[in-house]
Order: sequence, then structure tokens, then C-alpha cells
Amino acid sequence: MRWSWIGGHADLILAQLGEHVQLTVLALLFGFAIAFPLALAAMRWPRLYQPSLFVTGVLFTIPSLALFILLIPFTGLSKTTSLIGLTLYTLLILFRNTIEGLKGVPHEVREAARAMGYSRARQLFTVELPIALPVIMAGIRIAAVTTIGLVTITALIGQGGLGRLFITGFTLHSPTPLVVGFVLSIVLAVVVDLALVALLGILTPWRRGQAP
Amino acid sequence: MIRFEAVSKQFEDGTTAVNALDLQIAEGELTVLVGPSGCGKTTTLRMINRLEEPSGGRIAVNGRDIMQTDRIALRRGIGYAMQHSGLFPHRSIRANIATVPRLLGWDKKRIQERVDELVELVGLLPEIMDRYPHQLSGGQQQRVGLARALAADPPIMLMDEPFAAVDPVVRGRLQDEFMDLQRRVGKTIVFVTHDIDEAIRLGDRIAVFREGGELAQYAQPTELLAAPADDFVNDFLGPERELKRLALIPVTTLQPIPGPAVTTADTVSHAQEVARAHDTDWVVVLDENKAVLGWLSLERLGNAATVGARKPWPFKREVTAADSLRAALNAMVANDTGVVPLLGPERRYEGLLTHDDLSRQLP
Repeated sequence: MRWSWIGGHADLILAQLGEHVQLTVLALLFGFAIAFPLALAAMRWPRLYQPSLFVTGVLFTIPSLALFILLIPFTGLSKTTSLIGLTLYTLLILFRNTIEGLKGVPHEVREAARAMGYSRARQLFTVELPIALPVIMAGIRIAAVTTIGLVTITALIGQGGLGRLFITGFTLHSPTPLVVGFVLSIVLAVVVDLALVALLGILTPWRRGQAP
Repeated sequence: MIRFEAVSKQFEDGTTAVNALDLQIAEGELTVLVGPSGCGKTTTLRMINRLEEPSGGRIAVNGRDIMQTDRIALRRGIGYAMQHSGLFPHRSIRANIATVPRLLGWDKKRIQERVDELVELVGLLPEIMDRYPHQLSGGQQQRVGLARALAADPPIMLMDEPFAAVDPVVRGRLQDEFMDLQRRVGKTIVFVTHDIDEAIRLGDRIAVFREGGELAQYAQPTELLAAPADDFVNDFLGPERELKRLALIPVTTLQPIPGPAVTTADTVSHAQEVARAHDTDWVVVLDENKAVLGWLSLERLGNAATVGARKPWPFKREVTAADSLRAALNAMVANDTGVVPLLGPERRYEGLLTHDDLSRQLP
């Protein structure tokens, strides 16, 4: 370890960390923007469920490096390429957990809401989604942590956030940038995960004192 | 008033839940739909607020065809309580009760006042208002469910086995309170249960359904118990049909007999005469104000001068005008004399009820 390297490259490290966060957040936002409406549609029209699960499942199994390479002819070595790839990998988990969360809403609660005279949309947004939130949030947590890990791979196509420190370390034959990238990406994953747990706690005051 | 005209319901899998049902549910009455599982009672209930849509026939609420009424508006105008309270786990008790008023867009102050009123009406403590449903007992949750159903003061209430999921002791108490409540609010209530005793206890009128969604009999509880329409209804009412009926008839329908009653001041020879006149070997002993003290056998009176010289044995059971004939029969069985004294205010002697009178005068 060369501590002086860290001091000398603080700006670079911070910039890569920022890029890492940016890629992660954007991938999750885009992923959610696709998976969430898809899950709602699959709840409404159950026929959509199996095909959606199949497609998101297949996307999830494609080796990540292969996917990025496949995209290069279309979108080049760009941020777009890495975002498309990262987004596709979040879909399965976000889709499945949103569905499972909504399916987990007790039947009698759904019935009560209907019988009280909720419209379909109001029932979904004010009754079912809040109750499904813990399971949906569990999906977001897994998606966030996997995406943070996956971002480092995109270093190979010229993006990559903290992953770029791995390449730097490799080219300079120096372990320091490698270790810095490694530690920071783990710390980032843990911090994000804890932040999401805290957010869930704030959003679901009725669950206080129960198992998470 | 709710009127079913030739209503039927087939499910997609081909089963017939309700078959050509004609039924009129009177305003301000508690009508119980009862029957074995799969008899269509719940489906019948759920068609009233269009949770299920009828496959044929017509359902009118206050003369209006419900299929011509907006589904959402219809449901907001009808209270609904169910077996597992169906409370929203993510909302406080206060917010749960306020559900329908909020959907109807009442202002905050009006909702707050109404919720406070309801909490008292259903016997909840104000301090639980800010808790969540999972922090309440089953009985409390059912009370909240009832308060929520009553919140917008709907003229009609649908209740789907609301007391089935609580233990028998709590159920009995909830039933009593619910009857009290209904006496005060006078709603038109349609109540589903599979428990015939609950039906008899609560119902002004009972519709007995049989498998296949057919109405077997529709009558007041006493009528139903006195004259079941067929074997199915008879079996469903159970082996103690007459006892159940006695529980619904007040003691006051019987005319008590004067009986061999003497006061403590009477002579023993007078007591012997009275007993002989009534063909008994015992007398009822009253004090100077005609209050019942108990009874004495002629043997125990022996050669005393007055009745007051011997201490009378108390009756093990006595009845008042508020009791049912079932309580009277129970008292007859318990008392050594085989009869039961009917007491007025301040234990005043009104006469005796005997087993013969009970059987002979039973309406």
C-alpha cells in the first residue's frame, strides 16, 4: 500500500465514486421505471406474468461482459451502453419482488378495500402498495447491491466508476488503487443498503417493533 | 328495503352459487342468511354491494336496480364488516375507522367528531386510537371493523360472519353488545353466519339456505323453530329445537297459577288445607308483604302453631318477567318442588309456573 498515492489522487477517487453512485442510481431508476409498470400490468392481466418473468429472467442470465460487448456496435463505448446493461440486470429482481409484494397483500384487506368503495387505482396506491412496500424494498436493496458490484465491470468498456481504479492498479502494477476501489465499492454497497433499510423504516411506521 | 327477484349466480367454473332467489329484506330489521358452507349465503350477501355480479335476475335497493347504480357509490353507501376484521394493517385505528368518510371527502373536523363518537358507540378505549391493528386483540379488531362499517352512518350494513374468528366468550359479549347497538341505531342489516344459534339469537328474520343456493325457509326465528319447512331445515336446526325456541319466548307469555301460597302469619292447619286444595305436600312461604321467602313441606311444618315457626327452604331458582321460558324450564328442573315461582318487583309473589302449564300453553 502506498498511502501517498491516495492523497495525491483524492480528486480522481472522488470523481470515480461519484460516477459509481450516478450509474447505480440511474440504473435503479430506469429499472424501476420499467419493472414497476410491468409488474402492475402483470397483476392486472395475469397472462403477462409468465412471459415477463421469462424475458427478465433470460436477461439476467446473460454474462454481463458479453452483454456489454453485444451493445457496443449500437451504442459504442458510452455511458448509455453501461446504463442499458446495468438497467437490464435489475429488471428480474425488481419485477419479481413487486409482484410478490402485491400478491402478499392479505386477501381480506383487498376485499375490505373493495367493499368500502375504493376505486381500483386508489386501492392500489393507498392500500396495496404501502403494504407491499417491505417486499418491494427488499428487491430494491438486492438490486442496488448487485448493481454497485456490476458497475465495476463496465470499466472494461471505459466507464465503471470505482472499477476504473482496478484498471489503474492493473496497468501501474500497484495494489493501492485496487484496494481503494475494492474497499470503497464495498463500503458504498453497505452504506446504500443501510440507507434503504432506514428509508423503509421511515416509510412504514406501522412495522416498528416487528421483525424487518 | 333490499329485494332479490329471481337472482342467480353461476361462477366461471360452472358451479351454481345462487339459484332463482326471491327474497325481500325489510328495512330496519336484522336478517340472517344461514346455511351450510357452499349454500350461497355469502355470495348472496356479496351481490348486494356488487362484490359479485349476479348472472341473472334483479336486485333492487330501495327500489333502485343496483346494476344501474355506480358500483363505487353503491359500496360507499353500504357498511361492510367481515370475519377477519380486514383492517388496513398500515393505518392507525383512527385512520381505519375514518376510511369511508375520507373516501366521501368529509372535512377533517367532521371525521374527527364522527370517529370519537364511534369509538364510544362500539365500546373501544380512546387510548388505542393511535395504535395499529396488529397491536389489538381479536375482539378489539372486530369492534374496530364494526366502527369502520358504521362510520358514514350507512342505512344498510352487510356483515359476513363478523364474530366467527373470536373465541366463544368474546363472541357472546360482542353479540350482546351488537344487539344493544342495533336497538339504538336500527339499521337494515344482512348478516351471514353458519352458526344457527347465532342466527336465532340475533335475527329478526332468518333465511335458511341449502346447498345449491336455494332458499329452504324464510321466517322469524320462533316460527322457524316451531314449524321447520322440511327435513333439511329441521336437521339444520339441530336436536334441541324446542329448547332453542323456549329461549326466544318470554316468561310473560305464560299465565302463572296462584299455587299453594301461605304467609308466615298463617296457621299450620290453614297451610295443610291450602296444600290439600292444590294436591301438594308443600307450600310456598311469603312474608307479610307477599315477598317470596321459600317453601316448606307439610312434614317439616309438623305440629308447629304457625308457618313462621319453621325456617323455609329457599327455591334454588326463581324467574322474573325478564327471563325466557328456557330459564323457567331450567328452574323447574333445578327446584325440588318441580315448579318455579315468578317474582315481581321486590320479590313479590306473582304465582307459580309448572311444567304442565309450560307444555300446554306453549304458543
